[in-house]
Amino acid sequence: MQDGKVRSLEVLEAEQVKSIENIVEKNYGAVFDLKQFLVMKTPEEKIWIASKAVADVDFSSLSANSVGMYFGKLKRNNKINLSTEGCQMVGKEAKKNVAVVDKDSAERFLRGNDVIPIEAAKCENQNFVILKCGEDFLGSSLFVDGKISNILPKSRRLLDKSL
Amino acid sequence: MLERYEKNMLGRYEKIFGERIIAPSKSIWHVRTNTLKISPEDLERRLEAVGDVERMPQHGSFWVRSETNLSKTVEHVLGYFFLQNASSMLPPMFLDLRPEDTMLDMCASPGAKTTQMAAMMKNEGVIIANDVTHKRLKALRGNLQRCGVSNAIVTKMYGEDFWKGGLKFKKILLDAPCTGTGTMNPRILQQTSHNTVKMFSRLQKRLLESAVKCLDDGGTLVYSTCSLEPEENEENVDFAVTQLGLKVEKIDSLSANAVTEWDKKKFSPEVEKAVRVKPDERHEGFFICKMVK
Repeated sequence: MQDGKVRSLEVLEAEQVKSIENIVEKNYGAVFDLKQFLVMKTPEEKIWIASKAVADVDFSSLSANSVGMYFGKLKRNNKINLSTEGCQMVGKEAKKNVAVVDKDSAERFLRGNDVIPIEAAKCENQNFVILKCGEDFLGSSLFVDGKISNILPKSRRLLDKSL
Repeated sequence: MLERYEKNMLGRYEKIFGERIIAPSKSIWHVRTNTLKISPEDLERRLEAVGDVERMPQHGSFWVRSETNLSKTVEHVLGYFFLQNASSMLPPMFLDLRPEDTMLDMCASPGAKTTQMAAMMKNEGVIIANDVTHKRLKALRGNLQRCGVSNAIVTKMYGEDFWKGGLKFKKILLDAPCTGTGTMNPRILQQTSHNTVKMFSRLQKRLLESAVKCLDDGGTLVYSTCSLEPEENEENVDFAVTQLGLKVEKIDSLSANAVTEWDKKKFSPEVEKAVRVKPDERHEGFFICKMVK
């Protein structure tokens, strides 16, 4: 979200939130309760979530720059490209479209490279998948012909060595 | 330049603390677990793979001696921890934060304390995280996202004018922009002149005025800086007490007492309840004062 975009945020009704939950379930087999949050959408179909209490604050007199946390972006054909945080929230419950990578590939992925997963049995071709390494959920990228095509934003990339 | 710093600044600090002070070690990393994403126990295990880990008194925080640049690790990118000086973790602890609170972090960037407070509030309630420049807001937003903070509204306003928004809060953190001399960074110490100190002191008073206007009656304001200068610390608390009608609440003494008089001016006795963290190998110098309206 950038300056001025807050005004264009649409707070979603329960039915609209349910439809996003359905998209998450359809793509990842995860029952994720989005209703615990205030869910908002930008005109670009980006989904933001915030604590419910945010709805009780009238910040119209303030120059608001962003509200809550970026969850993911809705895509064509009922798909969703989750943010790293969205992956970490949904990933624990995900039963499909989770690509497992080894530690070396995890680092290469976080540096912006395409990688080949060691396990991708339930990954759909041309869909967004959650990358997992051990207990870590690394982010979302496209699964194309057995490879992870890296679309991790530069701001979430690793620039040097890991632990 | 170094000579000027030796003469001007270190002399002042000896007078303030009554002894020669040492700069914080650059080879120790200060790590605060982001409990919104990982447990301190799990993070500690991972940190042990890269260095000697020592637990801080603050739960879930560690000093790590390591050659690895921890800011460029998988764990950092994934938001499992925030690199934040041990002293800087203290001010939020005096706000008695609860998950249902709506609070103001008036000068929030880069978000070390904001993300800490979000974790303390379990990502519930609301934090209004304010700052002013595009660059600072970008850093703030990036850190809030990386740490998975969903209870913050980021606003872009001059702190001095924040009160014009008309919102009132029971809890406010004013971690004011300052000279930063508590870091003991040689470059900062070399660049800090008496004029710079005076300039920040004036700005901090304006911020205090604004914060007090935003504070509910009976509300709590924690004022902090990473400056060692009495003009930015005790002098401003004296201003808040004598000109703005705040009362100081005593907090447990940390490592040094507040200065009671400076530059031929004697401060209100209330100022004695404020505390300083004396710079040492494991701490940056810090000033913290809890006030009530």
